Amino acid sequence: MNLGSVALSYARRSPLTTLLNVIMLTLGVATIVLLLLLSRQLDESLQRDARGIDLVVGAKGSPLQLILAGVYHLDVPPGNIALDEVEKLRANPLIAQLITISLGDSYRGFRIVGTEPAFVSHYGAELASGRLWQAPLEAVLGAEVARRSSLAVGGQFAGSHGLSVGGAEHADEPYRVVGILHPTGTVIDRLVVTGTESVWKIHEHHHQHEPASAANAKQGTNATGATDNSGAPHDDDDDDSKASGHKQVTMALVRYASPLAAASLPRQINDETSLQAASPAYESARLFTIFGFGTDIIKGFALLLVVASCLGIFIALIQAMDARQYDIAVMRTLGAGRRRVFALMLLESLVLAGAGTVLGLLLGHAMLAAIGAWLPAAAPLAEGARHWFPEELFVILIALGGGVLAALVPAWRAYRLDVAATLSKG
Amino acid sequence: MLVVENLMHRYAAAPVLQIANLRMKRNERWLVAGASGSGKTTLLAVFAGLLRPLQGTVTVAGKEIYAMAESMRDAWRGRTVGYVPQRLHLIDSLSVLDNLLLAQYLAGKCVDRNQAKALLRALEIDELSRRFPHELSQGQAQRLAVARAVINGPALLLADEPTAALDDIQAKGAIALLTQHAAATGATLVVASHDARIRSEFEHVLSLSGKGRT
Repeated sequence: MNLGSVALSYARRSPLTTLLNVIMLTLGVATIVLLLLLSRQLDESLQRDARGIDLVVGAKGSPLQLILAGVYHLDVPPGNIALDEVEKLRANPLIAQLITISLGDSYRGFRIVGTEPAFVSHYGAELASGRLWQAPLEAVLGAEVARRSSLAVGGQFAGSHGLSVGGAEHADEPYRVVGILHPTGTVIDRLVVTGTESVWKIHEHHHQHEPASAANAKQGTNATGATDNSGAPHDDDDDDSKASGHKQVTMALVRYASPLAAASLPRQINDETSLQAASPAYESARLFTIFGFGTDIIKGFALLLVVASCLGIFIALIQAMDARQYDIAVMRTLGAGRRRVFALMLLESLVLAGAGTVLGLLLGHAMLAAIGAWLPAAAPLAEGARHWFPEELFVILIALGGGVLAALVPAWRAYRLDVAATLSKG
Repeated sequence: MLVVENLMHRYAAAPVLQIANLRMKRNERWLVAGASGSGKTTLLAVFAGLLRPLQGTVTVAGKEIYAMAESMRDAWRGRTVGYVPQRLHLIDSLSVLDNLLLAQYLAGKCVDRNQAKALLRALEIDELSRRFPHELSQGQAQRLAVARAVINGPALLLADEPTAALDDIQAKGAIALLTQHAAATGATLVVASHDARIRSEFEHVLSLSGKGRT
């Protein structure tokens, strides 16, 4: 027997009120926790994916689109760029490393990236089995792709036209899996990586067999891989480019040779070439500013839920105080001091707030894990579901603090209760 | 055991209590009689250390209770005073047994389930130990309230209108319960009541008129 068991007995006495208050607090805490985890994981994930990439060079258009397509593999790229121009850039002394990537197809929603072997080492990926590609139409699977597709080394698959599920399959040009990568926690886990030549070969073949009218109406791709899922930009010059021997890629990932390059190289590219240079760091920050507004609003609503549930606890305790003043008076006759009855009311509120907080934390983590299991693109975010972060301590403090605040007035009334007058009332 | 000197208390302008001096000894049974509003409950609250009188001193077992700091007085009350309120006010959310354990806990004593069960057995309500107060009859609840008041072996046992709303047999039983337990522990029993049926059970009577002792 202690104050905790008395507080629990009071909570059990009105189960429906207790349950509703706990549910409301659970939902509020879970929403805040989920948003905190998501934004933290998103931030970490964006940083991980962009690590070592100082600049992305691609076709003119939206710089954010370029970053989303080239670094995070989320958006469609704005178009293609000439390989010749990229090769000129590669010779620029301000550039330490340049990796070309060509996009255009996908497999079950996972993007197929035509690139150079340096792309794999850039993400620190190591082979779990097999080897890297050595010839066109040999592919290496990221860990998440392998896990979800159940493809193994030696298996074959056909890429789909476009960057989302539902595009026409290149069934006549199947890829052969030659390697599978270990998980890295970066975007490469969700990519199918192959040589640039594979992309050129598939689309060369595709264009040769496709009637002109169909080519114009198709979802949007080209021999070098620029694709638009929405059916928009298809590089119509592409066939001409290839015919004239000008190969294209979708973009290039650039690492500066020195910090000084940051000051001059982007401007140099943007002003003096037909290419566009975009900084992942800058665009990611911009993206977060846009996201931040939305998440702040949702956090505000979640906080409202927490406040509402604390208000519910307050009302429940105030109502309970009216009925419980005799209990308090009797406890005082049994030797309980004012502080002890004050503590009892606080404890009762803390029992409810504590239950809501613990359940909310668990639910928040469970929801993140569920999102990760459900959406392949969110798989790295789900990593956060297994960890606890310092920010969650603030959520705990807010919820418990709300519980304490809710109990202050009823606890003060219990503290100030005139025992003799209460007992004389009957 | 209990010594009162120059006690005076009032609400608003009219004095409710005025007792020049009073001495109660161990093992004595006192009835505080008087009509409603005569100050019986107020006097019990003063004796229990719950209501500081405007004037006078109350000494229990050699300790002047209102000279103690409030926190000390609370602890003292838990150890020294047993109180049976008029409407019993058992804690409804706790079982019969837990009501007794709570009394031990709040008095700062060791929570002893065996002692609590033995007391319930002595009062013939041990089979109800898992039940809740609202499941008890009036007589059973009365016995539980007495058990709660005596479980810590108080030197001063106070009961406020313990026979109100009880029939003759129940009233006799309630008083017998209190007197037996007071006698068993050597406690001073003070019962506030305007019930004429129980007057003969007490060797000492303190009559209050609303202005003071008569």
